[in-house]
Amino acid sequence: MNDIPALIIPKAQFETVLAHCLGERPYEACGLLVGKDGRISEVRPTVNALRSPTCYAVEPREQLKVIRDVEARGLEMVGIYHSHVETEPYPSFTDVQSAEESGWDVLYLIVGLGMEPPAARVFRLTGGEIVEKELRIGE
Amino acid sequence: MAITVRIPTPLRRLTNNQETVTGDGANLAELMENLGSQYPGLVERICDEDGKLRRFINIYVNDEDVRFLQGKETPLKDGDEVSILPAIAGG
Repeated sequence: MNDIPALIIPKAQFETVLAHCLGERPYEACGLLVGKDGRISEVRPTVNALRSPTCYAVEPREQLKVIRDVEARGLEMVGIYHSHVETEPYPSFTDVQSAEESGWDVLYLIVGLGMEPPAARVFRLTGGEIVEKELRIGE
Repeated sequence: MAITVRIPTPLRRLTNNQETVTGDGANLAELMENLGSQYPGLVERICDEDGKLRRFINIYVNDEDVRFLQGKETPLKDGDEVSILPAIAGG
């Protein structure tokens, strides 16, 4: 992935992410962010196959379905979102390790539900490093 | 036999940036060997030193996860689509 400086997401799409995250409590929510060049045009909520309050895995069959659909329309998976039900929206060791093992070099949007209002931050996780990126909502 | 193999973004640098490639093999193991000969380094990202699928890799033949079929012995036929899916996970 080119080093994109920001994740740009329309307000309505961000509200979809937030609603999904809140609705999946007490489990972590997860989903895919679709678009091009850091700009999100679609949010694809997915099932957390682990149904856990502390970890997530996108159900692979759903992942395949979304990727087939997205690539057939010339779009790409720009990012992955998931929630931290009680902790801050900052990558955990599991987040960093999973990104490293899987090799997905995309933007990671993390929604922290342990504060009011919920907070969201964006990161790039490559080579075991955490680099925060700008989150631009509503553009 | 022509098997279409869908390559995920993280592995496309190993397949000359191609989203799909064509391979040959009567089963998944043979397909892996065929892909390895065409694209050096690719199979090492999919299988470990013992030849087992890495835990973060899911492989689908058409719409079925090979872990619920016959693993690397899963038979393939002309026209099948094999999708390599690195897991999307974290915590």
